Amino acid sequence: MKINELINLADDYLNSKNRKQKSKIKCLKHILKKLRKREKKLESKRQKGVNDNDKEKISSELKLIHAHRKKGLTLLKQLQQELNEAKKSKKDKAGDI
Amino acid sequence: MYRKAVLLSIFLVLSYGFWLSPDIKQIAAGVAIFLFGMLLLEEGFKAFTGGVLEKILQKSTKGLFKSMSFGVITTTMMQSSSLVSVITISFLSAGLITLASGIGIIFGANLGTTTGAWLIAGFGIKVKISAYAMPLLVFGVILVLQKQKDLKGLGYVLAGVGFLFLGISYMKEGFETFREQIDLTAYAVSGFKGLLLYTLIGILATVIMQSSHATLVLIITALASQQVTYENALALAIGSNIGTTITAILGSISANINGKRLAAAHLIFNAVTGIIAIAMISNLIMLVDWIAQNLDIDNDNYTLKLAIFHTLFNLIGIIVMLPFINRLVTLLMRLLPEKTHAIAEPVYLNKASIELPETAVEAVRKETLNLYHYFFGIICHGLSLRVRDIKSDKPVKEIIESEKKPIPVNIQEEYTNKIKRLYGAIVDFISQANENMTQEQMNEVYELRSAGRLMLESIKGAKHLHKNLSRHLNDPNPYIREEYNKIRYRLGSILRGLAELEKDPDEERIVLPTLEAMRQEMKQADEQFFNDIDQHIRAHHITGTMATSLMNDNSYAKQIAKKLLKIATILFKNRDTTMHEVEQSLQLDEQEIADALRADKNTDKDCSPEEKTDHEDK
Repeated sequence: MKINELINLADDYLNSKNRKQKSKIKCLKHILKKLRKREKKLESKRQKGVNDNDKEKISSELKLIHAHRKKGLTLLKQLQQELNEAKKSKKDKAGDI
Repeated sequence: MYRKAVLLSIFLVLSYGFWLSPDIKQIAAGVAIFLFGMLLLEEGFKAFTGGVLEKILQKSTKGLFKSMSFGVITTTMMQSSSLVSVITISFLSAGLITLASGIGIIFGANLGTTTGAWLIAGFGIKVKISAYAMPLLVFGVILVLQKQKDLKGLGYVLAGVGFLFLGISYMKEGFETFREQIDLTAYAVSGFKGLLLYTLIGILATVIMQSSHATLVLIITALASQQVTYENALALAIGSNIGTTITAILGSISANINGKRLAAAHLIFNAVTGIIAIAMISNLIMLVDWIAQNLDIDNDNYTLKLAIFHTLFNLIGIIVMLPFINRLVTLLMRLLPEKTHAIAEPVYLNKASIELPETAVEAVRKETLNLYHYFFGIICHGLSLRVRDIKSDKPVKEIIESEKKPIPVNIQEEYTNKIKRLYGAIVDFISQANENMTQEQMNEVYELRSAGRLMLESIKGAKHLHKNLSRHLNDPNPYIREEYNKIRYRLGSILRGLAELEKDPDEERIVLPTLEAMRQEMKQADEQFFNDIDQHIRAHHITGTMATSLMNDNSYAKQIAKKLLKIATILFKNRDTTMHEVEQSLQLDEQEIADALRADKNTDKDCSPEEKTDHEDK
């Protein structure tokens, strides 16, 4: 590994903003997975056959989960884009030098 | 009174000894300095328990082998099995580790403590260690005067080690001059009688000094200056191993039942190990000789042979006891059962947890959950529902229909004996424990305290609701009965939802949509309630007075429901701060909720589930 790459790696690690961003992305992915798990659990519960009242409740929660996942996905895309842009601008700066 | 008498007798005996011989004074001063060093060492390690130690403990105690290794390593590092056992008891009391893991740590600590004998026998006796003590004391004291917590802690550790060295040196010198005047070996008792007698002396010495390490140093220094015979020294070592359990026993007095079980396990393990060592003493001596021969240790180097013996019999104890750990856990559970209280007692709050901030936070969290379980029961009974039904899979509607008669419950008494009492203990504990906490930790305990306060307020509402509910559930008017059952159903559904949420394992639990859905359901039910009331009044099904009573109780139910959701948000939130923050950023506003509930999931073409899966997995 070249010395420049090593410096970049160390810089990446020490850059607290980048690190926070990465940790946020990691958490968000984890939460999205949890939401998907909950969604599957509720869907199978609904299919197993519950009374109408419970069916309605499950449907409402499923709709809300869907909205949360949609919001989460938008946020994930945005965070990933910001991180890529930060990396790109750093590369450009290094190229200029 | 009894303790004072014992203390006075110790003072008198020591004073007589000091008057009799200056050497006894020097040996006693050595022991005192050594013990003071251990106190400083403990104080120093406490400075590092603001998170790091707890995190390491949680990660490294998953599984028996891991917890045993943890016990060996930490005790070797800290050179105090007492500190490790007391911390383990506090962690077990706070519910951070399981009893089996705790026993594993104690087993490991027993092996780890034997490294002390090796260090003293191999290093302490040969080298003039008081020369090392001085710089350590100087650096230590300078660091102790620093304001920064970590530096202060390091200072205590250095000064502690310095005092340990100084104490050993004093004891060594004391015994050397003592040898010239009095020959203690004249009091040596040989044979089985001597073995038992010196084991008992070893137990007593360790109980008085509360440190097997100090007793061991005393034995090794006495052995090095030939003040005790080798056989008697072995018996003293066995005794010190049994006597050391006193620290854990004393530490468990303020701990909960699990802490007491661990202290009992410690006593059982060390007693069994001691009995094995006594029974196999001649075989062990032969084995020690054989090992010493193979390690090129001189035949007359009794101090190192004692270190081998100490390690060997602890190792044998572990090998013998290891297969019985699960049986030991079952036995302790049976011998020391959990008490069921008519009056709630704190389970997780104990003095041992107060000084360790992270343990204190965990203790408050667990105790608030304990409070929540009492609260949950009272709310269920207040609604004439049974906790076991709410926690089952039986549909809430069926439960309401089957429990038509009110369950007799004295909410005021339950509130005073359980909730108020327990909450008071939590508040007291927080005010004592928050001195050492960081801002983040304080925020967390204050949030938990607010959850407790919400429980108190909800119970007051439940008391009023229960009174009217009990009256109207037997009302001949079917319409009012139906309306009260609707209130029961609404709150029962929320309680069911919360019970399911609590049942979910941490890694699967996601509170945001579940609580949001409950909130929406509550809102709709409230709107429906007023429509139904209007209809009943118009159709003369109920009187105006009945309607007022219903509206009041609906308001109580609404408040209880709101508070239940707030309590659940605090108690079941993600404990990882970043994870919690990210989860909160997905919170929907009113408009988004309305849009989501209107939308048909299948017609949403913004983003297909497959597409989402791809993104999440990237």
